[in-house]
Amino acid sequence: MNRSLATVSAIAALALVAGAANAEIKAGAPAPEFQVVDSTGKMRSLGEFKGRTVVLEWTNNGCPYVKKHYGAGNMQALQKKYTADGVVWLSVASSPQGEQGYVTAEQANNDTKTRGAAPTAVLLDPGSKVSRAYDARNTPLMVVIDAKGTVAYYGAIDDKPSSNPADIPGAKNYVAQALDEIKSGKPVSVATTRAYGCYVKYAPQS
Amino acid sequence: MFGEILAMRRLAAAAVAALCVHGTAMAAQGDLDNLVTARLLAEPTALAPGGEAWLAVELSMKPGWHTYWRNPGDSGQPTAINWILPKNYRAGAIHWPVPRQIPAGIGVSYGYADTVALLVPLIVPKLAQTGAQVEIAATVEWLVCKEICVPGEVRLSLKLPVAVSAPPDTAAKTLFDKARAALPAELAAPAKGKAGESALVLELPDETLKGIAAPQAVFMPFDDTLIDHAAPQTLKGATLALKRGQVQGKPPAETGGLLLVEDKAGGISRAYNLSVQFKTE
Repeated sequence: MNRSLATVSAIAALALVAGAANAEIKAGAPAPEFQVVDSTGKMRSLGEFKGRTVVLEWTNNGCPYVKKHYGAGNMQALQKKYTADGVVWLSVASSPQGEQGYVTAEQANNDTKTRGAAPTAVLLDPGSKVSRAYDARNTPLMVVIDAKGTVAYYGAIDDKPSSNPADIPGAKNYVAQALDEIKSGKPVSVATTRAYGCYVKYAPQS
Repeated sequence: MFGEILAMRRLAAAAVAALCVHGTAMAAQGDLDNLVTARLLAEPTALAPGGEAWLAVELSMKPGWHTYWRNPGDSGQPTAINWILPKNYRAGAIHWPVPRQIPAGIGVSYGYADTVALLVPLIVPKLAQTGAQVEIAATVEWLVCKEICVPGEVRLSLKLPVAVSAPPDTAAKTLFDKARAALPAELAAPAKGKAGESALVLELPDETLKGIAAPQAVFMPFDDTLIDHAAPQTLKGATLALKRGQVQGKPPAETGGLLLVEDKAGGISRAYNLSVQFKTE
């Protein structure tokens, strides 16, 4: 098939968009450090939780794929179960001001209350610092970091890439699986998957 | 006569509830109506027993909004068609027109803006009764995004008579010819590739680069775990270098995708259905 271009070449346009290479996150490699304020105004870092298993959960309260899990109570159930077991659960609100998913500290705390969520903390990342460090491209993106600070799991919350809550009961939950395997000292059987969901909105690089 | 009927369209309830809650960028609810207009179209005016007929699910998106290809890339969800057919009728796979790359944050998606016609072959049973009217229906589910994403779903149907022969519809033929022209071309043989731990290298067949003074190329795989969709793809001679995706492990022995080749000076754009056989390094 031969067709003459009506508009600017798609390939050329994209070359302009792709700037510096994105961060490379590999299962088994050290998880990148971060320093970011949470919704109580406290500065949090990954190093603060050394020796504990940490879950990072990228969220956007308007994204249909996030609403799938929160609407069905799935995300809250995971948060409650695993934080009760000593896992640190950090939700990451990473939309810049003016974009869907942006929340002030007050709105973040209100969301937590109204939807019965139970994260250890909600990190406010409107400057996209945590997102850049972790090459975050989707909400929800789930990262599990073991007690040694190594990335143990990176990717989708489960194996049904839809926005339909009816898909939750029959889905394999990769986060629960990884956390259960870490707890029983087993190797994480599925360490990386393709995350699904809405794309993470980024603040211009500073 | 196309024989197509527009059906009622409804937004997923969750998507509607997502509106106007937080943030200053929320659109007024009215702006999010009819983001996608869907039609079910048939090329012939009648279905011939034992024959094949081209159907199309045509999606028209509001300006700035896009739906997704079979591999949506870094985010999004491919359009899905669930057919509701009379007994012994079968629908083949979707023949996807060539998508475009869409920047999505730091990632890249593959999809369509404006209007896209997803072509599907309908196989009519030999024993289909001539003179009968049959209903061909489908539920179509999509994700349409601009800065925010809205899932959508619609039920479409059309009725056609069964007849051994019928006069063509020239308007339909024009639409379907245009849709077929937007499909990638087929290649005679698979291409060879080498898979390393972090990189993939494809040897592009000569015919794909023939006659292009300053070629540039992009490979869009069907498998969404194969490559980093946002990483630049470098063409040196006939060799295209790609960065592997997050998901590691042994790459497949053979994989497929779409190869888009363009002239940097403009004027030439070609797309091919490319099969690649990998040798692991």
